[in-house]
Amino acid sequence: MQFSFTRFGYLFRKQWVENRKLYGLGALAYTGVLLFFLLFFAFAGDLGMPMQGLAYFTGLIFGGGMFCSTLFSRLGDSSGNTQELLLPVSPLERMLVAVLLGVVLYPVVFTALFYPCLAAAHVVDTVSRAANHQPANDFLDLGAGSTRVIILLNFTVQAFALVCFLLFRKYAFVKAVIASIVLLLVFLIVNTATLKMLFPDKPVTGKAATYYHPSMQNLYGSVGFMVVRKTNDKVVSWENSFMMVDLGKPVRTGFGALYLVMPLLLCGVVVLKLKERQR
Amino acid sequence: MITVSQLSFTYRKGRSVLEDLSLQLEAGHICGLLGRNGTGKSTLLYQLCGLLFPVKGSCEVLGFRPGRREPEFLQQVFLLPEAFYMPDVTVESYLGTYTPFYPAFDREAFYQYLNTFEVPRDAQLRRISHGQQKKVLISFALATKARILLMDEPTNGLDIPSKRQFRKLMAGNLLPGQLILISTHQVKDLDSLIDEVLILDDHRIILHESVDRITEKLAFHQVMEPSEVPGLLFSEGALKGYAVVAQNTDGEHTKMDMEMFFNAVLAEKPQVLPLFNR
Repeated sequence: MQFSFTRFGYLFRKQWVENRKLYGLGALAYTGVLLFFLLFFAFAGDLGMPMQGLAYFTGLIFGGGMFCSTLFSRLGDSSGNTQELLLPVSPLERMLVAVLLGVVLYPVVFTALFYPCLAAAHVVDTVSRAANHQPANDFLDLGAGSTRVIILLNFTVQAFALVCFLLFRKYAFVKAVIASIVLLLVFLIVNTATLKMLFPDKPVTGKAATYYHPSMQNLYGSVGFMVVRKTNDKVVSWENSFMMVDLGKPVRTGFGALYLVMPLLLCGVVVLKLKERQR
Repeated sequence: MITVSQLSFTYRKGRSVLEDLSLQLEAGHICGLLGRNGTGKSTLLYQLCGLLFPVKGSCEVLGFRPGRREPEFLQQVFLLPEAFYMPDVTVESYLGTYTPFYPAFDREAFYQYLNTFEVPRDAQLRRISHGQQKKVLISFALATKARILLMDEPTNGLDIPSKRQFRKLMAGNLLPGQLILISTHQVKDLDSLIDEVLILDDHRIILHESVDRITEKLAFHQVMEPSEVPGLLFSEGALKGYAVVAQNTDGEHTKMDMEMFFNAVLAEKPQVLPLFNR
């Protein structure tokens, strides 16, 4: 596999020079959309941590997908792909430039855009909450365990997006979204089936005890259960809370490794697809 | 320099384009790849630079397998495509972005070619006409000093004075050790420019000859009565009488009419091709 830092640098520069106007406009558009939604939630009095998280991660993942769709767009364009494919660079260099832009720089720039917008919306939110004698909401903490998981998940999603934009020549974005939905559905079905297999639907016979465990920090190496009460096989009530069952360190490590291995595997697929790409 | 052996290629839709095609090309020539529309000229060029991969057979260019598209290979082979993309930047910025990929790029020569084509140096690429964009790309292609220069319909989109400028530029810029392969169906544009002719038909190269050997074997005349021409192979009505292609029986030297030759080969294959069988 060929790699040269010099060519990598040239390719990165080329990508920047040819797309800087697009990136500038994109950054402006993202700022506008973020401000609109965050201010909307602030005025609605609902700019708590969950809403901040939702705004951040939706923008990060979907916005990132849209951004990634531009990285290989010339390969799908019949007038541009000839020159693009014949540029003296290796598939590895091409993939690494896409990863640097889509997986590393995009989240940094997005975060840099997000926090000033959040700060502006937070002022509005704090004033409105103070009027109702409520304490101010905290800021979203990107260092929290669950946040780290979602940032890792974002790497996988963007790597998957890169694969999709190489796989599909026409209507790549629409097809990538459909592929993601299909994949998510498959995951949900497999996940539910596996859990049912692991934990058959039997009445709990032992005593249940609750204790605090920072399960989100162990990369979802836990399974959530809902407390449901039944009478004559009919659900009479359920508690809107989950009990997390820690699956143990080996499972947690496995899940953690999966988050790291998946993007790497997908990047490998990107290199192979670039290599076998024909006009 | 280029060795293609028994290469076959079929597009995904099942249309066979090249079948059992073999070809050997050496440096120091400007070759014209002629053929009707849709015969596979562009496909052959794409095979030579690695944009398409053979279904059967092999292709070797400068000792590389083009399909691998190694950067060292791509630095030495440049394809001027028929349809191309130009970014929204100035000529200067375009040079700054693309020249580092081609170590042998000659900036001075590029500006010289641009002057010949009368394209302003400070042009914004998206704001100039398609023809002018093509001239920038032709200048860039020549200035890369690539050992193999492949040109796909380079004169498409150029006006008549620009076609003359193109011929002038090409004729004076073949480097030692370089091969230029020009594919076109506008055969007249290649008159007096090429020194080797390749004709692609029926999915393969049916003729590969130097212009010298063609004029040694054939004579090109303008006559009033074609039936009086000995060894007549092909004739076509012209403004004053007929343009004819005949066997060169008395060793005279006539200027080759590329279009007449091409038409003669395609219309009279059984008569013309055996003359060149080695």
